[in-house]
Amino acid sequence: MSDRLVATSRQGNYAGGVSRLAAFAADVGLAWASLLILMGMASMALSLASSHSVSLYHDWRIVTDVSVVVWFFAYFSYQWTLGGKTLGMAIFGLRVVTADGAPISGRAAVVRTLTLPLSIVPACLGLVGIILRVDHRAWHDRFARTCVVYDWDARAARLLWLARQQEHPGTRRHP
Amino acid sequence: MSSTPRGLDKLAQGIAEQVVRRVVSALDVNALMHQVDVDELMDRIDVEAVAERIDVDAIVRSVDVDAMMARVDVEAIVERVDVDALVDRVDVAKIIERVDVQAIVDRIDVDALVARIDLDALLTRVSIEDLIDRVDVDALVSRTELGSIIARSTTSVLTEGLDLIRSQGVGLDDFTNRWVNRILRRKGELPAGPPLLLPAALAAGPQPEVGSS
Repeated sequence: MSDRLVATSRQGNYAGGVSRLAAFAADVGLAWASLLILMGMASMALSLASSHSVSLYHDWRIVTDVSVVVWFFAYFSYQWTLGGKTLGMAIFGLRVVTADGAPISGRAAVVRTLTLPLSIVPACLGLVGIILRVDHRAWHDRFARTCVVYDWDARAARLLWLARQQEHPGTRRHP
Repeated sequence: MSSTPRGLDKLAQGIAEQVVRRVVSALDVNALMHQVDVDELMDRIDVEAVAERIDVDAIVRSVDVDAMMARVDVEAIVERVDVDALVDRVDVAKIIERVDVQAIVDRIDVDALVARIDLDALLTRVSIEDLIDRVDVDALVSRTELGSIIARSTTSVLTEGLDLIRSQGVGLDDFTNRWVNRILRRKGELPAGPPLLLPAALAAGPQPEVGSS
């Protein structure tokens, strides 16, 4: 990796596999973490109400499994419907849009969420398109007629870095 | 009585004419001219008196200038003029030195000049995009107060951290894409993004070398 960012805005370009994988990993982590917090709070509330220790994970396994599925579905579909991006995607500057580049509809967000497991379950075969295809679209992208683009203005980031350099000379170099 | 003098006059006139004719025919004009001292003759001529008697206006009036000009071959004259030699002899620097530019500028009514300019027509001919492309924004931000204003207004550790993470991701994406394109032998025009998000030229053009270099 070199030490200079080419001052070109990446907004609207198809996002590559590394950024998308990192964003997905961040989303899974965030979804799990938020789910664990919610389930812990629910377990605590049930324990207080029933006066004995309740563990949702052990005592209500089916409920827990359903909750995981529902939570993950809600996590992705709601955020994609709301702004075309999840928290992980926001961190990595990505956005889901239609294949033409328009904002995605709620229906497309739901289809994308429902078909996401289809890309992952068969040994991640459905994700190969993210690496090999020119438009970096996976199976769930093609089912939902969506694609993922950079939503991050690298040009603005570089200008901000230059401004900081002027304000505080000697700070570290921009990547 | 009166007819006799008349007859004598005629006779004398006839004789004189015969004499003059013979004298003239016998005269060697060239030899005579050699004996004439032209300089002395010219000294004796009162040129001013002669000039005063000449009616220059009448002479000029009688000249048919149009006919004269029609007979002049201007092309031939111009062809015979060595313009290069003429120009070489002109000391342009000296001419410019003698020009009072300030006086000329002072005489120009700039306000009237500006008022006559159709700024709308002028601006429609200016390509704002080309103009903006020519602005070195990096230099502008790093050398002016603008950069300081931006830094003070938007600096945050979180933003800086996100920029770092994102640029690392973009760099790795480009690295991966380059290798995949090389392995799959993709060349030429590759779509860089969806048509609605990128201008047609970019969307259908070659994938730009962006990210890290």
